[in-house]
Amino acid sequence: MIRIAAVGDIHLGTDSPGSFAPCLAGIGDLADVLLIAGDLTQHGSVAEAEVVAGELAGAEIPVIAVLGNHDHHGDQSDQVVKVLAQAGVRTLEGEGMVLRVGDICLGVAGAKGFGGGFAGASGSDFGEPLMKAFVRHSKEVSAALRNALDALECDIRVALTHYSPVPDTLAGERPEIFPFLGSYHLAEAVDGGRAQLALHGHAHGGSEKGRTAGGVPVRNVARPVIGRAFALYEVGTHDACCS
Amino acid sequence: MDDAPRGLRESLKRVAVTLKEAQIPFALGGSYACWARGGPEPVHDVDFMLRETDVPRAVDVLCDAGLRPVDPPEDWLTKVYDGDVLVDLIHHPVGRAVTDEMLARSRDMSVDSVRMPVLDATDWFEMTLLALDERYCDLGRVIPMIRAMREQVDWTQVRRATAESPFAEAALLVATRLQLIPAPAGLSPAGPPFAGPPSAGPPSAGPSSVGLPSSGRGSAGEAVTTPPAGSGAVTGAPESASDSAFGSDSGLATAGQLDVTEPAEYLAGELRERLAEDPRVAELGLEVAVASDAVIVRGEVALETRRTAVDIVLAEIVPDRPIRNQVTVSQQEFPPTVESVS
Ligand SMILES: [Fe+2]
Ligand SMILES: [Fe+2]
Repeated sequence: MIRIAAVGDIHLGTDSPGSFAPCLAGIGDLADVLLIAGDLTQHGSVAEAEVVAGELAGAEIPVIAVLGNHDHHGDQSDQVVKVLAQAGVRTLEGEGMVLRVGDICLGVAGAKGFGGGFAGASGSDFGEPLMKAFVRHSKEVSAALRNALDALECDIRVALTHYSPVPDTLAGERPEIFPFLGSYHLAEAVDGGRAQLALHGHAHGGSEKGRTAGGVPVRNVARPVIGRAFALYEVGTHDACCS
Repeated sequence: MDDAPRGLRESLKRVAVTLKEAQIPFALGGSYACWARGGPEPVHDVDFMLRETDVPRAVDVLCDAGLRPVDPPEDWLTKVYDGDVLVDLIHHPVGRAVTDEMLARSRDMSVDSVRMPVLDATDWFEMTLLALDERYCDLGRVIPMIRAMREQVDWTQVRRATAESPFAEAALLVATRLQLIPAPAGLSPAGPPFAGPPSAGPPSAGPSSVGLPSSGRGSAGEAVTTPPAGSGAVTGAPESASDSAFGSDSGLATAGQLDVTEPAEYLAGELRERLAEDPRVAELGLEVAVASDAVIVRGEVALETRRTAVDIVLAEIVPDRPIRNQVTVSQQEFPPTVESVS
């Protein structure tokens, strides 16, 4: 059994030093890994990334993140990733990584994801170039998530995204904006990639719990949704160890 | 009973005239008071409000006038029959005694050609909203009454007097969101959120009020100004706090000076975009409303500095408009709980 701490949308700014690190004190007693579901910064600036790095550097457990739309706003996501890496925070985009916890291997596949909507109310790869680019980006990041999940050699697979794979965890948001909050292509990746848990953020006004069509539990860990510094999930082994 | 209203009105007038002649102070209450003030005509219910001490004498004079007394089990009213029509003589509506002050606040109005005191509209709504409960909370009945009487009511006083009732709060929220009545005015910076927990209660007008004038507790007729329909606009929604860029990335909003004379909906939309894009706030989940008297911002931010930045940013864009910053700082940190997911 692995203990996962998870939070998204901490939205730290240059005005935030010292605001998040204290919440992580003692996290090593509670969890084996901390997963961050995007929107670590307010605007995706290097200065903000440095604040985030400072706040996360003291975490006693491995920290794995994906970026959110806010982290892309400054058009310098590469530098943001670099600054985070210097503090030991691993950022995933269409990649996975495996951690050994005791005798269990935890695999985390991460991608930002994107909008596009959910089955029956989604955008199509059709029409203006911008519209096609929008939908294609959603499909591409979902395919990257699927590939990352498939490539994981581990006992437990967790999918980490910023955007939501399901509409369940958006309950509370206005339905009109669901297509900007997630995409069913992510859920296809989660199911196809045999994840045991999918974590996301982005929908600050949504709700915590949902499930994909394939039955995978989905949790919206946006900080305003969980109402605390991080949520904790215990995930047991699903089948025999394969590594 | 096709002629129910007619029969009811005849009984209403008979009782009113009888009480007036006997010089027993009273006020027309219930749904006929609402009708007298412009609301829908009721099809049952004739209610008069009297002081408890006057009730026995009122019953006596009404019986002398040919009505039949009934002694109901309830301890807050008594009843008399005029033929088929039941007339309630209420002395403790929603558990509160009818007082001299309440009767003094009532106003002489012509009700179907007979002049009689009619309960003050503010008192009327306090009672009506406090009477809502779990089994009787049909807003479909309440909203038309708010529509009909809204200009006659001191809504600040109604909010204050009904603060403990979640049903009243719900009715007032709906009416506020429909822009039938003014939003709560005068939130102090540390005040509770717009739709705060019932324990916090609706905010009352305080010294820091920048918004709606609150009339004294006077006779009906002069009351809080209500923005005319269409004069206010809201963008975003309090329940919707996502940080999706939807509606927030218009190039127009950053292109330079805002036209602050444009229609309220557009101004509200652009102010919301400015708040999303300005690095000092950068909050995509805020709701902006442009009312006739102020710009109102609601929502939640993570830090106090971002909350104060809302004032600063808006003051730069619309310096001539009062800003009502109802943004709250999220602080709730519950202890971690563990969920087992497989
Ligand atoms: Fe966010
Ligand atoms: Fe986001």
